[in-house]
Amino acid sequence: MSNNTLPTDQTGSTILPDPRQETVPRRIGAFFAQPVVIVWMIFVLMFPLSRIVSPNFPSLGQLESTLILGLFLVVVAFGQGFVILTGGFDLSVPQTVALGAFLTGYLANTGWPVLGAIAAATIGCAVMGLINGLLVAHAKFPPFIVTLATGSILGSVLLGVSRGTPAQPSPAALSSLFSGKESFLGVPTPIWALVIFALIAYLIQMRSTIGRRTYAVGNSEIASRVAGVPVSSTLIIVYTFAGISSGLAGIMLLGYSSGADLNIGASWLLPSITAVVVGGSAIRGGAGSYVGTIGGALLLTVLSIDLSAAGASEGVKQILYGVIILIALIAARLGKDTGAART
Amino acid sequence: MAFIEIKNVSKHFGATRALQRVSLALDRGEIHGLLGENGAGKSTLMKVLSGVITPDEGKVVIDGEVLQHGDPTAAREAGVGIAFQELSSPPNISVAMKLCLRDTPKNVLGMIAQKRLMSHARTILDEYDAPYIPVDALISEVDLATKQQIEIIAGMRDAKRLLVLDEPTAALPDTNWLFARMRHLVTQGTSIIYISHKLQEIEEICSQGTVIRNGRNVGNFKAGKESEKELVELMIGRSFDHTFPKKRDADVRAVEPIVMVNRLSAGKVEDVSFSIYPGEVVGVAALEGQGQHDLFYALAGITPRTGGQVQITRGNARRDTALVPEERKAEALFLQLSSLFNLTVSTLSDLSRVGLVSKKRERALGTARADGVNLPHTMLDKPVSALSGGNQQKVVFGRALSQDPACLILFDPTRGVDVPTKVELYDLIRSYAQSGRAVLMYSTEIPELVGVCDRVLSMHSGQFTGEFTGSLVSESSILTGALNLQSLSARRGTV
Amino acid sequence: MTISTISARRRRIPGDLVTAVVIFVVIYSLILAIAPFERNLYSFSNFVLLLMPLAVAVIGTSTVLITGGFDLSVAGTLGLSNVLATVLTSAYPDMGVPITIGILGMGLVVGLLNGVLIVLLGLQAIAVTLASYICMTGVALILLSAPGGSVPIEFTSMFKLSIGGFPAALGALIVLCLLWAYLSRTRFGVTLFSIGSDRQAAVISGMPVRATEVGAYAFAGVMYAIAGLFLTAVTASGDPNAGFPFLLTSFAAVALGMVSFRGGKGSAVAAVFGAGSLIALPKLLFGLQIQDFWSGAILGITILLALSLPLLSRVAKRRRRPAVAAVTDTRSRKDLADVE
Repeated sequence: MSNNTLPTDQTGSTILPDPRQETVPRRIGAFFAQPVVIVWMIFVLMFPLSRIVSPNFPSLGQLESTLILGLFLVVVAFGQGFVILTGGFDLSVPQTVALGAFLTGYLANTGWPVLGAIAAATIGCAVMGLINGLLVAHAKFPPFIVTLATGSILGSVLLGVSRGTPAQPSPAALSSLFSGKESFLGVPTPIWALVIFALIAYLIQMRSTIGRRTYAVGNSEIASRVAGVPVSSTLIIVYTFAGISSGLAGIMLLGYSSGADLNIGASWLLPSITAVVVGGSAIRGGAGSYVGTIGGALLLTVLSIDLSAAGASEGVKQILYGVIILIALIAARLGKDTGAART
Repeated sequence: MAFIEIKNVSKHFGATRALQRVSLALDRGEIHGLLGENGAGKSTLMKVLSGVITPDEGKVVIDGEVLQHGDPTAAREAGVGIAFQELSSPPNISVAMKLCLRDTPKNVLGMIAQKRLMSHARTILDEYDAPYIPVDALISEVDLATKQQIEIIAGMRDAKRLLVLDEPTAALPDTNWLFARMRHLVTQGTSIIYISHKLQEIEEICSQGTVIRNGRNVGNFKAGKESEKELVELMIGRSFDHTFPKKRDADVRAVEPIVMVNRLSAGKVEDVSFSIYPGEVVGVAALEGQGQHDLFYALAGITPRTGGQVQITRGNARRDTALVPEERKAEALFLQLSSLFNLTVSTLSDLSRVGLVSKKRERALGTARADGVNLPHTMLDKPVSALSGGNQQKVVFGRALSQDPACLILFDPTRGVDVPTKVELYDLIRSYAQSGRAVLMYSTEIPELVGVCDRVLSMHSGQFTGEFTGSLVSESSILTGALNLQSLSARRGTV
Repeated sequence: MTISTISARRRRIPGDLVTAVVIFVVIYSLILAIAPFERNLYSFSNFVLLLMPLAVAVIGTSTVLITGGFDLSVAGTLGLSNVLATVLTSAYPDMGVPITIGILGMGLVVGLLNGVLIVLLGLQAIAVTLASYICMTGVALILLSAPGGSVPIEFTSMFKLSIGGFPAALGALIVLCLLWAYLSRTRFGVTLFSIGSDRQAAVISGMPVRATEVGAYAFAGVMYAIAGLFLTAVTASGDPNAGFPFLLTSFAAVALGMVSFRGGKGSAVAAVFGAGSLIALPKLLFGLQIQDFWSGAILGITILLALSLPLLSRVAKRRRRPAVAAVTDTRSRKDLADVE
């Protein structure tokens, strides 16, 4: 063995001095490089920046509007994000949202108590999610095309069933809850809904056993099988949750818009995916935080509000959304590279 | 200056220092052995030579020209040919296409001329004395040994100056064809680096060689001059006898077996029967692709069974089986997630109440498991991809042990693991068996099987060819079984 | 020495192509059987024109899918091509040919950009193509904020040309299919399939993986642009959101064309037949007097059935030969696992 004045570690290999040490500034830098943190920082920054758009901004009313309007995207993006975590996609979101809204309105208007109608609608949407989950887990069809197909079938069924009366007015109780006109302890009720939902969803994704299992399955299906994590039942549960959250969004939208037709869900599909990607979740699955998704959803919402106030055309908005997705992707990619080099 | 010079090449992956200032020199037409066990750094060196990865430092000089790093095309142009193990060919191309990738015959329109492609491939196969390989079959349709041969031929065709062979005989049943081709190749002025951990082969075909351990060049040798024992000591860094824990004392079979396999068929496995008793570590020895993978994975419930029964007496264990699979990165670990997650995810019910995970319990259990496998606590919050190979394997072990299986199934558990960690893993294996459980183990290192196992079954073509217990658990007898030979042929330099 | 037990096979029967053709022939025959007014050349000609946008688009989509990638930008490029054609030809009605060439160039550039971002920067294909779809829709909206405009007849007639009753568009489709068939037999094509079945192995074997992948996206971009031009000819107007329905239909057509979503197998020609089946289905439903709103359900069910076909055939094979267990070479690359 050659002369060795440097210390050796347990493998007998020389311990080379680590050029990149865990200094405090380095750790702070690493913290801020996380996508979750970045998306929230940008969200907060949007408020002072919105002064450019209008002299009335930033304002409390703007914040309130952001949180109220953002509620729906936060809800839908939870289900979509949960599915994306497993490496899949839920393209049946628009039709499931419509199902939630339609069923609630229809049942309430035929005399059902409001809570009963909501419960029935939620169960219906859960069943839709369950079907998706069964097809993905047991038939092993690619989630992208399967949810496309089931969504298409659901949309068709809704059209058929609702013949003549596609638009449903909202039950009064729902409208008052979600229109934003009512307040509880000075805070508009939809914002309370946002906080409660976000809390429950956070617990489900980040702190429950099903959440842990989902991260495992999304990271590696093979390793999950070897580690004894039940892949099929996890997938089924995830898609069911996705169905429920799409349905809940539909129910809330019914209240918010005081009525809904079958197109109520159409404009939520792409934003749900965008919010998840911008929030730092890997589109391939296995990594991501719901806190990031919430940040992504709120960021997109405030951006939309600001751009509308600026009088930007729909076209400009779309281009900006596309660019934001690309920036989020590139940032996540760069973050991954430096993260790897760090260790 | 030598024809081929490798100077001070280093490479690290995260916390793993795969190569540390390795240097080698080859003359023209020399066959140089690169000896080292799995995980010593041989394959990393090969990847540097082939341009697949860029080293952190060092250079490679071929026939006076410095090789451009990280560029496979440059390596090929410099005359470097590599024969990787068989799965580096896309499965859906034809054998002929794989052989003629560099000089595909095209017709006037630019389309591949299939007839000329096939005849060109046949000519090549004739040249390399392998005329029986079907040129129009797809890569996915030929067996492992044939794939390996195709890989070797393709590599030899590329190798104008240097050929690197990575464990080429892992899947080949005998070495005659390969050695004949190698001897022919060197007459044309090509040098060969022959990577292996099989001493007998290196002794037979190489003129001299280098021993690599833990990413470093620990010694050179001339064939025939060093004894096997000395070479093995160089490879594993210490005398062989002291690395293994004490085996079980008596061959007590009074109790009922924990595992009873009766006429099991799955994949390549055909009609196999055996038992494992409590306290036993049973080993399986086989060449690559003889069905051991299907056997182990079928027992673990992953590969579907096509016949037979498996009966496992669980007793007070929590599960029937737990598997430590062949490739921890692809099959066992959740790479992007923390070691803590990896250690605790199999037993979520232990950490949670009403479906919610208690962070305190998670940390407590994770820490306890890390202690159980001697994993430093500082590793717990790091993504498991950042850990060294040895520590990663400890995480896999920790999790498998936490599942408390009646039978622990280990497939090549010490691959890519440094020696001190190996010793710790051997202790874990032995103590788990001693606690009254069964352990089934496959290893590509026959000395390891000899050292750790109470009983060894050799396997060939999906069936058991021999069972060795007590004093018969020795390298030579197990090797006979694994090669499916009736008697040992004379070898040079036997210990 | 082990001798491979596989007997030499000269021709490989393209099972997926046959299935896709059969599905289409069955549907169209049913149409002809049920609706007598469909049994003429004029009807067929209309059908072909209606089919063109989807058929050409899926040639692109399936090519990318074969490499194991994903391309959502079909909707964006198609829509933008449609809007550009509308806006430009309305302003310059006699510049039809240069405008066409320019739009093809746009498709090529967008495809190249996608390819560069995905292959060279290593970003996820679904996300990148989603982003480019959204951006292109934005550009289209700026150019044309609402559906409308009128495309001059000089332009649409270029695409609607008819020779002895047969639509010249059919000829164009055949040419594109032949082009694809040609490409699939070149080194480029072989590399496409190899990347889809095992990208790492293709890289290690020394195949020009990155150039080929970028090429696939660029080729697809041109196809989408062509598809948009045919759409313009059919609708004679522009719609910035014209591409959105194609997200659903192009992947549905690909599924009906038996192209694998995992990559490595499939034929764009089969996907074209899948598109034909998809366009013909509503006609069939109309002939059967099934109400229009059921078309979504029929579409969804057909896709699910198409996805189950490979599953069913595998079950059938296993029942026929019970002794032959599935020989899966479950070993993966040991030492190459370190290579990113």
